[in-house]
Amino acid sequence: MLILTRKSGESIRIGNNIVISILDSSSRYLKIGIDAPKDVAVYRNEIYEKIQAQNRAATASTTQLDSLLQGIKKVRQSSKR
Amino acid sequence: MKTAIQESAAPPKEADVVFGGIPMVTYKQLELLNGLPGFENLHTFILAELEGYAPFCALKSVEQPEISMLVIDAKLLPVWHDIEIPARELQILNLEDSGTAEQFVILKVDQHSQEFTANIKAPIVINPQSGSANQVILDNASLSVEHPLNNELA
Repeated sequence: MLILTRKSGESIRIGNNIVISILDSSSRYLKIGIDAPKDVAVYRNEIYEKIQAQNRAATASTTQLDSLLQGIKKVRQSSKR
Repeated sequence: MKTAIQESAAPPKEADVVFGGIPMVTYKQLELLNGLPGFENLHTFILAELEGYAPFCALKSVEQPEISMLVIDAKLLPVWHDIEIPARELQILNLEDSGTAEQFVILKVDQHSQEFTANIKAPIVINPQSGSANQVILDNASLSVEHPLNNELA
């Protein structure tokens, strides 16, 4: 991993069109500004990882088709009530 | 080094498209511009209704057909009425407003309780004209990746 030291107000350029700026820092938080082309998706990493895990789990569950079809029947019954 | 050959994404024959043995009907092909989180190498998917199981639909990878998941039109969920897709995400898909976007949520079923949950934090947003799509991760912290579905279907 490349490690750089930056102060508030300084920034880092990644490639030719992504700039990451340190806007503010306290003892606990860093406020970061990101300028990137709109087709570059920017996420909080822990949230992206959560979505990855959910997608993998949703795929795994489709291999258990019996539960899936039972689940559909159950939803249908409860929505008829 | 061997070069990976990208198979051309010719649409599969309709009769061949099944989800656990259930025929998938009136399908459309989607290009997920960023791939699907967790499966970033997969971009081409088929979205289709499951014959006899409406309104449930399936999303199935063309490149890796064993990767498929159950989805449902997000607009069927009452919780969806207040949800806004950010303009930036719509622009990436060349959509003018969220009214013209199709939105699906991925479902998961609990093996024991057989209860469904929907990932309403990260809907699949689709431009129905072009087939371009993305799984959009919404910023709203109150949205759950495991929203209970029971009694929610309108």
